[in-house]
Amino acid sequence: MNIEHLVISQVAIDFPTPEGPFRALDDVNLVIDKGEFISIIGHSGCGKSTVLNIVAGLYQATEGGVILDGREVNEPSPDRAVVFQNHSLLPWLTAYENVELAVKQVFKGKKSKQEIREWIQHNLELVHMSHAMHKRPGEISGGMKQRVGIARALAMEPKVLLMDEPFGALDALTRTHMQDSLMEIHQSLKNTVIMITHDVDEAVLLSDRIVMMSNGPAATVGDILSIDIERPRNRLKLADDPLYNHYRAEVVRFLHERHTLPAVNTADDKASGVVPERDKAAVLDLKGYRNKRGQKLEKSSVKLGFVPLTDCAPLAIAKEKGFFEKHGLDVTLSRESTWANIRDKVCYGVLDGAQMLPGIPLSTVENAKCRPMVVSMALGLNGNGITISTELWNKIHELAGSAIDSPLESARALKALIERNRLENLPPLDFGVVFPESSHNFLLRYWLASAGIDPDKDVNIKVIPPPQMVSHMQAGLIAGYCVGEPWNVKAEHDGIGRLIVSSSQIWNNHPEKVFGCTREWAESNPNTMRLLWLP
Amino acid sequence: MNTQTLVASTEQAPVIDDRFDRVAEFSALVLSWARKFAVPVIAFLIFLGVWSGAASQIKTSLGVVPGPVAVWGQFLNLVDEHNREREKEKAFFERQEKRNAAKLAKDPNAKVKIRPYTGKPTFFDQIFTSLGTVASGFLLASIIAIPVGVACGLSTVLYGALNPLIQIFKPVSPLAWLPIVTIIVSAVYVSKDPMFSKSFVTSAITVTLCCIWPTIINTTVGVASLDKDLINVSRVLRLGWATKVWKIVLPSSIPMIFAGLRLSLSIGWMVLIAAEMLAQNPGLGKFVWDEFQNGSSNSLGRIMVAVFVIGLIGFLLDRGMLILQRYVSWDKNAELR
Repeated sequence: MNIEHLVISQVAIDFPTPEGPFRALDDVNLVIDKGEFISIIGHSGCGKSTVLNIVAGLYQATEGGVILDGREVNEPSPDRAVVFQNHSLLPWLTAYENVELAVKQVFKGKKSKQEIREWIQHNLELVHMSHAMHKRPGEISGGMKQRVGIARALAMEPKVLLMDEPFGALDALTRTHMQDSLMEIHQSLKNTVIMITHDVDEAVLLSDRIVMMSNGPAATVGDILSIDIERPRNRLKLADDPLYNHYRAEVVRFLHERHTLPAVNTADDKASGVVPERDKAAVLDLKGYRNKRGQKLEKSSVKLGFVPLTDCAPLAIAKEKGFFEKHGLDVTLSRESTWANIRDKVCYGVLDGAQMLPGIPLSTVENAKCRPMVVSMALGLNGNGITISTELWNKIHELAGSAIDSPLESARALKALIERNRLENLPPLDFGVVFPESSHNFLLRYWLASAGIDPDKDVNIKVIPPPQMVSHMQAGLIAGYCVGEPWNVKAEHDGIGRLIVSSSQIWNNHPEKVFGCTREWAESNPNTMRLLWLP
Repeated sequence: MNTQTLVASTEQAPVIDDRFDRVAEFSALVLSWARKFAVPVIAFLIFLGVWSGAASQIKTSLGVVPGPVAVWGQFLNLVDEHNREREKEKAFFERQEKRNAAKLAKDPNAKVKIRPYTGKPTFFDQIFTSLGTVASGFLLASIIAIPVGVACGLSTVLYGALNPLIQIFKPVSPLAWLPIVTIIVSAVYVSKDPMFSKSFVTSAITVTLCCIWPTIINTTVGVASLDKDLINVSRVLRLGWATKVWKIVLPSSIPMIFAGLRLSLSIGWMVLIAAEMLAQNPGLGKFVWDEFQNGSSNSLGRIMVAVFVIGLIGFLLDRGMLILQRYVSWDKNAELR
């Protein structure tokens, strides 16, 4: 799995109060891409700043955690620089010295004195503050202070820039300038930014996505709005832009609803299903994930097909152990006897998805009658074997005259037998595979060909469903087969056949069974699809 | 608005306004000047009047309690005494030099002794002794109290550990410390050629013990009330301990530290006088005590001179601290009282 840039996963936080712990945040999930600009908006006291402080490492989450580039973060660090609401410059240092404090701390020993000086000046230039760099915070305006605060944060070269209502205390005109500056900086530096705001226009103008928080207690992500407006954005042009106004209206509506119906914060509310998919995926990264609340599943009752083989275990165990149930998924497992059944039932929607051979989805690409299928995960690797009947084994063993130790030796012995049979005008030997487009077919053919046996001319390959393999062999209908477990062991155990080649000897770690469904189904039921991975 | 139209319509209006302004300005100036200087002066004059009236009514074993004029006379006396003493000293050294020169003329190899002047220390000598002692004791107290206060402010554990001790020792009078300090210093500070006299060490340590507490407490409070955002800044930057204290903690708690230091210095000065009186250590306290024992008709007046001088010096020490604070503080515009 590729590593997400910043994952806020299952975050909950309790604050101690005299009446016991107060849950301020509950189950906050968010996945943020590199370079993304995220705004968090919500009513006062909804825990926006708490989220930011947890990401900054200033607060410790009671449950869940924050993962930055694959590492959990639980203490503050310059890689998550914070721009505080009230600038928090040290009043006894000049603008230059304030930035210098940060730069010296982060780049101590990495930059020369000259480089440090240039870097500080560069960052102050970036926020248009070079003219006042030797002034103390008390001598400059609020907007200028905040600029220095931003320069200080940028100078740390953070992976993520966290801004806690950075422009909240500024007058409207200054705020406008600051927003434009910030857009410009973000455009050129491509920082990942999380900004807390209560200004709807600011959020829509600056953000790639707006995270709207539900009201506390136990506040969580109520809604996420993607702002698909091209950058660079121009506030004047956007003022009349219908898309912009649509987004703006969306945010306002959300806030209004929360204001008038503050209590709407139940499981049903969360189930109303507006949290985009990728953010639900956040939960996948967590060990011991518990989804107590029903997330919005497009389809909570799912019928999955399987063929009774050892490698149906992932599905069967998940079902029996209640793993599906735990995630609010009602799964019916449908036992199918043939792979063709599986293919057809999945194709025509009788089954939502199924354990299947890796070849099946491939075959659907060429089969016009079938809807194209996609594979979401592998259920197993290896685990096939080629078994020949005891009778055939005895024959080739006799013919080889020596011990048969390798797949090549057994194939050569078989080749010798086939040559002899041909001289005696005996019909070609019958072999069974489970499905035309299956790894078994491929593996069997590969093995035969390795000794120069032509799979199409020298032998006769039939398709026989796995559960019937052993009985077919017992009845003398086939001389050998390639199939998954337990049917190889079963034949050995019953004395009917002998396992001569394991598939790992032919192609180690070949994909064996996969979970497949139609592309259509996967696209229309993404939440359900993701949940299916979980067990 | 209205004034503008008025100005536009009548030509003379601005002139009239201006005249009013000047009068108002002048009266404001007079008022502020009066408030600044006249009020304190009048209050002082009233005080002198009451003093002089009350003093003439009280007859003591040493005569009538001296009024302001008598005390001023005693002050001039003390200045005279001081000058006479200096002349004596000068004469003493001249005599010694002549003697020695004569000795050397007779025999170039003769050993020449230079004896220090052993005259009685004057009132002004005592002032400087006291100032030296209080400065040493106060400096020692500050060197201990500021780091301890910073540590207590940063660590709640340390605060919990030290707070009971601070609270217990804080109200102890110098009169209680003095015997302990005297005995311990006598026992521990033993040296053939001491750098400082024992009496000086005893007084200085007593001053330290009494004036250390306000600085500790105020520094602790100042450090503990550090702006949470600034703490967060230091956490995000992962500042080291020393950098954090030097760049963030100390600058932000300077006002509180100085509030503590000023309290400490004034307590130290009060304690010193008491300690000198009791322990017969040289200094202003000893001067007061000597005059009390002397019992001359001038004694009361001389003690009163000492009282004024002690008060004046205490006031000047506080002003000195204020100037120091202004120099050290980053915020030059802050109003300091």
